[in-house]
Amino acid sequence: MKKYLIWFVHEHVEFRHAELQSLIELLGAKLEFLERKIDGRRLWMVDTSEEFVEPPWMIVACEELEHILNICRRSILIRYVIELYAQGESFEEVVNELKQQDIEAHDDLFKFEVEAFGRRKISREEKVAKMERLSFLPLNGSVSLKDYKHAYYIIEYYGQENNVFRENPLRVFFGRLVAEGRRDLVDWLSLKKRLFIANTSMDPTLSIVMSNMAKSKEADLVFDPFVGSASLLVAAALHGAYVLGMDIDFLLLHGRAKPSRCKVEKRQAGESVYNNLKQYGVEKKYLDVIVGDSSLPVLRHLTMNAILTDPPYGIRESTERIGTRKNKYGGLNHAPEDHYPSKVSYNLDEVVRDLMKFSAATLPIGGRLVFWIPVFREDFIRDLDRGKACPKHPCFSMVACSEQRLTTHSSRMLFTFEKVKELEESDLQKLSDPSLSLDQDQQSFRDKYFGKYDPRISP
Amino acid sequence: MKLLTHNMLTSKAIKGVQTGFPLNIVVKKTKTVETEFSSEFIQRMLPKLDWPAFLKAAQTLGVGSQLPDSPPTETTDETVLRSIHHALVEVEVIEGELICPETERKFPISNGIPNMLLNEDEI
Repeated sequence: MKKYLIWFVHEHVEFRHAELQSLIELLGAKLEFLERKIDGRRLWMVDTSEEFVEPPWMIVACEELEHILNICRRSILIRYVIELYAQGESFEEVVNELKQQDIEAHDDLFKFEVEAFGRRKISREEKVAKMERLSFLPLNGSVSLKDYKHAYYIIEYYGQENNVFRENPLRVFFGRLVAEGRRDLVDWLSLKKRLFIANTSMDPTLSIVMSNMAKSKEADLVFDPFVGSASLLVAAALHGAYVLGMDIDFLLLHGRAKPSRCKVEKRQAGESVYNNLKQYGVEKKYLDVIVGDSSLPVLRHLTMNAILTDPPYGIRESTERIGTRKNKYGGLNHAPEDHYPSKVSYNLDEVVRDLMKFSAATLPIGGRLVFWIPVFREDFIRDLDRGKACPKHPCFSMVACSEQRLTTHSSRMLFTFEKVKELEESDLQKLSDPSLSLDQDQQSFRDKYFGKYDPRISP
Repeated sequence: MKLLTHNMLTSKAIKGVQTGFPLNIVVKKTKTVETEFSSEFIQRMLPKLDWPAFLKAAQTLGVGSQLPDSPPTETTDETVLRSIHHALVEVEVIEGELICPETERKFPISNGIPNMLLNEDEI
């Protein structure tokens, strides 16, 4: 069986295992992890301790290259995959190992790449010297940096501790490039070039990660109950799913909200979810957007394949649902369809409860719900010990949870849940159980975010 | 608003409304927009659809004539699936109204987007 080296992007490390694991499950890829196992079904928090090292690679054995190519067609956290010819603790070791191997000769155009991880720069001379050491390889074609058919990679890993300078690499790999991940999407989907954005549009990398976590695929129906400008649906539609969205913001969905871009006075004509999909050539996957309140039963229970969402936290988008605080509401003296209803704040705990309740009713068994929850790190870590940090629901099992740091004290957690059973009569009682709620502290995320942080108050 | 969406929308959120389904449609303007055809998608949606509601809505929009009277089970006949696809996800109500079958409450559709927001005294 051939061995492959998967080299990851050095970004969103906490999402790396989870994304790859979801893709393996979605695509039915058969990979055997050598050296270290994949660990995507768990909670990944940012770990800044000295002992924690998450190397930017994994080594796998795989019978069919197609499985690896399929993963690379979807993954945005994989940089590239090389067929691993040799590895060692020094370049010499790699050279010696290569000399003993029987590498197939070819006459094609090729190129070499020398990469160093954890070191600022390798000089051109050093690179050339390394390439020349490999001149014994049976590569009979010429070198072409433009029209190459094969790219050979020499990768050196110098460790990732801060302020440590190493003269020599810890690990060296050599192999032939077989596939690249979807880093091309980062630029292509860039929010700077997107026609329609809202205040909290999701960045392209994380949108793709979310859609991968949700296992969106051809002929699926993916729904976002807090759709905004539909960044998540763009990702799902690129993965082949038909998309449907809902949002309480009438002006936003009609492209008449205050512009979200700096120094722009008004929105352009045609800013809409449909045109966002059209910009990326996937408008034929657009079903509808609905102006509606996700806290209310607006949709009859029809099966969605996945629900992807970024609920409003109340920082840059308000968390609202329809309601009034007036005890006696006087009613309207004009036609109800011309009325803008008043809204009350909708706390995060309620949002999550409603979201899970709705998802339990609409998703099939195995269907996934992927969403963010903002947290205060100290509170979240404390609640973890008490088993109260993560939302729970009798129909769902938590697949993964990955942290993205926002500030020193706040983060957002990407939760992925999978429906494991239908709701039964006996579960209804469990649902009202207060132990299922998130902690009180998390509800006041907004207050804490805007409040002055005082470490003496926080335990 | 496409008829697939119409098949999901309810006005059940209104206080006192039992099912709120199907909503009646008042059509002022429609448009046909090409949507990718996938027989797999249509076949997956078929068992979830409320067929009589779909049929009635399709007739209101003037696209019901090609549709079978009852939902085809396990059909692979592409002509049938394509006619369902067309009525379900290609014909859109651009301007019009949805009307709650129990309270007559109107929900406006403008620019193809239904506004299902209720007022504070209705929930």
